[in-house]
Amino acid sequence: MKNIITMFRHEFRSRFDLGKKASPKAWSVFFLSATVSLLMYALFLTIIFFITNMLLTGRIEMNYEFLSLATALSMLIQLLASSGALVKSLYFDADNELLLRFPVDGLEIFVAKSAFVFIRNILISLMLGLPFYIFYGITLRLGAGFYIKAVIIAIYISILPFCAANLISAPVMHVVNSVKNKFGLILGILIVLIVLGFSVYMLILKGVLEYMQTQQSAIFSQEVLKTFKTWAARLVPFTFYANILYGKSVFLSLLITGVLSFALGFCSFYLAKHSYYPTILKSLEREKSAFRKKTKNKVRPVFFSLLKTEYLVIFRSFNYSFQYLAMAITAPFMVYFCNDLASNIGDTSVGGRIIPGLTLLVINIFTTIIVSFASTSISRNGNTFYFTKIMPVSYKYQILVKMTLYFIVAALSALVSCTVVGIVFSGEKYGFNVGIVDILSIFAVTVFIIITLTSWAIMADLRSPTFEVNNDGELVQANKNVSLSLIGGSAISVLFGLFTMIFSYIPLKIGDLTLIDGINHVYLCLIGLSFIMAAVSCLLLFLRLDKKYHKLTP
Amino acid sequence: MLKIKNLRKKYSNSSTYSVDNINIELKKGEIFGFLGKNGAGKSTTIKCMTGILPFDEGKIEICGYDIQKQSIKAKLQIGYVPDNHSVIEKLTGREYVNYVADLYRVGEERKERIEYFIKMFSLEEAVDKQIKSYSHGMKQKICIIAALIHNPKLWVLDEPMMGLDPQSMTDIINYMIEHCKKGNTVFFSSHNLDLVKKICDRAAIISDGKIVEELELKANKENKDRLEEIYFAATGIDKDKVSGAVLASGGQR
Repeated sequence: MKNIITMFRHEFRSRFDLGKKASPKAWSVFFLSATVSLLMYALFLTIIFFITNMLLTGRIEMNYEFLSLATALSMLIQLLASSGALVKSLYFDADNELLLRFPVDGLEIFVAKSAFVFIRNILISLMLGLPFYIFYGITLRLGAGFYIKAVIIAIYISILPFCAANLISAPVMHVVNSVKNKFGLILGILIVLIVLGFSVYMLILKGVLEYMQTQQSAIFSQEVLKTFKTWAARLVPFTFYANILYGKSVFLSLLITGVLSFALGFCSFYLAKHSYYPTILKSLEREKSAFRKKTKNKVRPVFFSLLKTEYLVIFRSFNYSFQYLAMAITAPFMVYFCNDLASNIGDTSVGGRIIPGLTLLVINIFTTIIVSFASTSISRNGNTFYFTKIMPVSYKYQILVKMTLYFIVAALSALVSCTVVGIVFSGEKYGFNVGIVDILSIFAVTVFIIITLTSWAIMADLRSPTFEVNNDGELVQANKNVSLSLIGGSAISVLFGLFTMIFSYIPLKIGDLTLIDGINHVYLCLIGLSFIMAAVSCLLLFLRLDKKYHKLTP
Repeated sequence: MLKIKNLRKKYSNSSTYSVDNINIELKKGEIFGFLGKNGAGKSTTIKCMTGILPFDEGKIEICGYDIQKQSIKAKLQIGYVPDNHSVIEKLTGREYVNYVADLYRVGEERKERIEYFIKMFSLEEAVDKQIKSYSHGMKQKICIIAALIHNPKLWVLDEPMMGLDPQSMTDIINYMIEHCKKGNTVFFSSHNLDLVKKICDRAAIISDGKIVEELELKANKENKDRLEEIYFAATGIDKDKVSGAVLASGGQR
């Protein structure tokens, strides 16, 4: 037991970087991130509130089915989250190799590591599932007893997904291992998953927002709601938890869910006791499994050699592929969905002339996400950072190559996004508010913003790189520079977007002098401003870069 | 070939100099051994020489090029093998060596050289595999091949024999000698006094950041024979304690 507590404390401290004295700067970044997270959560709660309202006050009574659906959603998300977390923490944790050297039992490592995931599961349940129950209670004006029951059930429902995740984490780990070196396949799967997930999310969000505007459940027809109701009533075992909350066959449902949780818990305990230790040994062995690729000894110019290696290191990493390449490739899909949603709402509430500004905002928000990857460009060197110092290539040139890669990827993504927007949103449906001039101007502004943000991101990493990498040579976690880069990019996107939206309607005048009159003036102004920003940012990045880089030590 | 003049280096989190007023001059065709206890300043000196670390005072010239002012030209003359043999593990051995060859502007002649080194280090089976699957010793070998691919005038090795099998050690020693015969210079740090005795023309002992002894080995047989004694005296290690421990055990386990 003492070993378990010690390992649990170690896991906890390493996850939250406890024990390190944070600087005032680190605290300010923390508070900024916390504020953004709280705002996002507030938005999430608002959406849940409207969904609850929409489903419970509709023409079809589906109170019980709502509880069943909410429980199912919460438990499935917990299952996904805990499966991922368990695979990562149980099998891929960098300290597994270290722990195996100590006189601790495999089961003890298992309990210590999975306890952390279980606590995380409870938190997810309380933050995700509980709001549904609370809004349910508020909408139906239920008494205090329901809320107490809701809190208990929210904790109770985190047991089953956790046990199930324990059971499936071993097979999941085997699948992950088997596709480990199939980089193209991984990237393809990631792209499909992101597009699917985002499409579903945006369709729901669109329905909710339409409902918020019209107070009619436009998203779901009566037939759809009836199908929902039928299926929701059949969602076993989630219905048992809904029964407890709803007050229907409470003792039987408690008995069934209790037996189910105990059975799955027992199986996962049995599996862990007998197979966890050999599985992590095997996993450590597989971690080193690598592909074989016969290549020629080919001479390449320095520029292309650096560019190719930078790309290969990203492409051959699951994490980096996901964070960067998959995001860049799927951005046009996301831009389409977001623009569709924003344009519909903007068009209805403000007018069609808002669409170019919204498009600029949406494209640049996704550009910001893609470009934020550049804020780990130096840190990602990890243990091989020394090599960037000894190679006979100037630091400026090395950074220029990295910038080129980030620019090509982000600019291509933006080009596809602009083309999609140009094709889809230039028609009659959107009042011919987006034309070729708009698209070209938006692309030009985006290109300069890409250069600006890439420079900022690299400058941030140059100022305080973190070289903490795992066994695979990949960054342990995104550093604070990523958050800073995202915040900076979002601010620019919002400012530029708002500027376009406002001044496409209202002329900017100083006395009798009209400075901006119409959208074309707005574009000229933004192209000029973004060009200056790009030029100044590049200058600031490359000015005394060699000196600053030389001072960096791993 | 290498001139270090009054080199001083202090880390930002330290109040004392890690390397204090070091002077070394190496000629063409020399093998130079750099000795010292752990933390004496060997790696710091090497990192300053290769351009990894900035330094506070002094001057380092590689083949006449100042490492600070003409860093690219200076770096082109160096082949460096680090002590931690960190390499880009996502690449295959061949991809990595070709990448390094590109950076050092090695032309078509690389083909022959790569195949020669692959054979020399028996890496035929592994060279087309991702480096992350390599053992400690294999990574060290790939580092050595990458350091030699451009036939450097100055070959710098930080603890080069760590993790290598006896055959590879012999191959490296032979190659060091061969490399120097071609008019190049080898600078290596080591804890292995026997190896230094065996192959070095000269050696220096560093203690607390200062060079405390500089020895002719090839030209002075007495220095060679007394190297251990000189080393223990220079680094402040109680020789009697070390030999006493060995004697107490009767030289047996």
